[in-house]
Amino acid sequence: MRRIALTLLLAGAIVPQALPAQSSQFGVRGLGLPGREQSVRALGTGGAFASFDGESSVSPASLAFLGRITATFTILNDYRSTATPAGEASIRDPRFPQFLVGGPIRRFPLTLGLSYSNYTTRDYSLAFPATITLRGQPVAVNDTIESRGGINDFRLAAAYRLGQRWVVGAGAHIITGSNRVEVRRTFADTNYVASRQRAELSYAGFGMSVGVIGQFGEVLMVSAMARTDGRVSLDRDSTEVGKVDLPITVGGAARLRITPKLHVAGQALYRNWSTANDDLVALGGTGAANTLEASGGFEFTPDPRRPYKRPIRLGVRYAELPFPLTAGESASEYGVSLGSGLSFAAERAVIGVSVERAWRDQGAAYKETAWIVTAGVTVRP
Amino acid sequence: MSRRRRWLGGGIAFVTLAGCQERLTQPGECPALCPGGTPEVIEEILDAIPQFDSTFTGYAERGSAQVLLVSGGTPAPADTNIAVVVFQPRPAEIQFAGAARTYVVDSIRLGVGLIARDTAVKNLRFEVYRLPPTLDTTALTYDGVRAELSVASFLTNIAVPDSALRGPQSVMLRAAEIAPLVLGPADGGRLRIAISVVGDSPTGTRIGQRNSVVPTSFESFVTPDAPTTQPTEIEVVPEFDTYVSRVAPVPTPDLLTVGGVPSSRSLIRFALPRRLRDSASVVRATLELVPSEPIRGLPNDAGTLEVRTLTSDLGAKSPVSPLVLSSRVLPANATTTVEVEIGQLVRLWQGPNGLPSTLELQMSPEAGTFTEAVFGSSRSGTTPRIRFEYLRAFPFERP
Repeated sequence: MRRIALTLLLAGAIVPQALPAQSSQFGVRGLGLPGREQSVRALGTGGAFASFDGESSVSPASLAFLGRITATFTILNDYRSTATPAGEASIRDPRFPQFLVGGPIRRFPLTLGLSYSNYTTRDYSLAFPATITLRGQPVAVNDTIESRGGINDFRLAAAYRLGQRWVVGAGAHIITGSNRVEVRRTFADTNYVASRQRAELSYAGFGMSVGVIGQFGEVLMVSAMARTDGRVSLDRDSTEVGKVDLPITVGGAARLRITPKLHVAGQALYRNWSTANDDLVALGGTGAANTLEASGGFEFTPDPRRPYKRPIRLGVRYAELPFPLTAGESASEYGVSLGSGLSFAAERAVIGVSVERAWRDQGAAYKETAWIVTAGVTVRP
Repeated sequence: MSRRRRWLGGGIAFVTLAGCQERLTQPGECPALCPGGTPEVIEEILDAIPQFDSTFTGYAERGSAQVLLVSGGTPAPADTNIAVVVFQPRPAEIQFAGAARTYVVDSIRLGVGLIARDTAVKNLRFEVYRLPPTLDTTALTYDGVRAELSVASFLTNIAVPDSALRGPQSVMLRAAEIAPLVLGPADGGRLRIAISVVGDSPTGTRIGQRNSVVPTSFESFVTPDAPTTQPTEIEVVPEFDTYVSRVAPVPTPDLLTVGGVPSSRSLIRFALPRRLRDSASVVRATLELVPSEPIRGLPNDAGTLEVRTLTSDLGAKSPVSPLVLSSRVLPANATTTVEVEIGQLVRLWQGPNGLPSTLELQMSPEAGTFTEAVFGSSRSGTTPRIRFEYLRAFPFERP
């Protein structure tokens, strides 16, 4: 009990108030860029191992992989280059995309976990220089539209072992968060004072998820999950301005043990984001489209008895993005990732790192490349 | 820890810490990268409420601004202002060598405190006249004072160098020059003078009133009657001063008058629409006033039109907000529309606890400048108005 309390205390001390994941110009519209709810280990494999990783929050059943009380925390740095018809820019921003505390319950085949993950991110700062006519005279202006924040996913989940080969899990999700948005206009003519308007868009919703993992033989493990997130209410400065349907997610994954040191995995997730289309269009947005996300990768552990000691992880990923910049278009991303880590004190402390190269685009007009560097700290007291 | 581990750990720490910087700005592009659209500036003109703009007079009397206006033929040819100064009694005896003694006046210095002048007018001088002890200072009139200005009552000129912009100007009178300044029993020891001003062309000046730091001065340099004596000085200060005016404009009820003596102020009320009061972001607001006649005033010594807003609208005695003030210098003889930027005032009108949408106009220094403006009103067909530029509330909720 003391260890659980200590773990929670440590985790609470380091978890930040806002936990958005990496941002993107493809997160400017709609609800933002979807988060991945994965630990640094899963990110190193492109997300392929997420359904079998107890420190990720994709499937509640994966909590069963937490062999002891565990706290994990990740920090992500995003170095992006964007290209649009308006110009190019180099951008960077640090984020904290995943936090989890969990562990098995003694004398029960049950594992509980509490996680705080990024659901979508709307972090951007857009600058628009222009010249307008006021009182018959041209006046140079500079507009800036900024947003910080996103939607977070607070999950309480449990995984239950059914014998040696099956695990089922269920989770309840509180979907909450806010965007602090601001628009500024400055004038070159000093007779005009700068305008600054601010608002806070807050979101609130509730979702549920279930998952199952089955072991087939000695080498194959299969996972399936489903999740529904209901509707999220959108408030502007505490006044409700609308509701947006959130998607149902279904996914499947398989992990294959090639040798005791080498595992390969693949995962696919499908989300019917188009259910949000009408609501977003009614609010004046560009709509939403269904998305498919697929990833594959492997993990090589030089010492299978100490799987967190200098593993080599590699993965590739493809994902469609739900919120196009212009209505009717589609945006997608590709990524290649590499990861590893170090363990200390009989694997009671682990430092992991992953590096992902991502390419995002919507047609030829809007492109983005990014280096996404994620570091994670896991403690098992 | 092995060297390799230390390098790896150090690398992770470096990437983690060095990357903790946010640089998010990128070029926006509409409509794709433009959630909510672009801010739109809306231009709107708001006229004053008809019949709710008016002038009130009597806020400040002459001399209250520690200034006396002295002029000849300005602001208008008919305008002439003459200063009247009565000094405190000069004592008949002074304390010298331990006793009260009579004295002999050797010389006298008369001075005037120049506060402002028209620098374009050369050879400026003050003409000083002696006023009789019978002058009733409680019932001064221009005609009464003007009748006393004659060759016989002329005392001296106080010349003002063309380079002098402000400060004390004086003349020293000696020997026979002081004869007209002898104070007889009928004077009660008091010197009474009138001061007018002339130059190469009609002009005016502002001189210091008795409560200012540069009042009119009267210094006597005397020799006491004593076996062993030495020169000493007697200085007396004004106990009364004012000025009389040939013309006293009376505000026209159908127009808006600002300035003058006694001073006039104008109140202008506007009905601020809810779209402006509630959520608009006012980026510029300009009060536009159309002069119904050229601005009266002394060239090169402009007064300042001050515009304030009220904390509560109680009519002529409404308290004004001390927080902000808009102003505009009013050059003499200007006829073009007067524009005053009042954005900071208008923003005080906004919100649920906004101040009354009423403007108060007054001149500065009040009752201390030649400047007087008469503007059109809602009754004269040239209604005061505010030209707004504002932005509506941005549709942040548009994703």
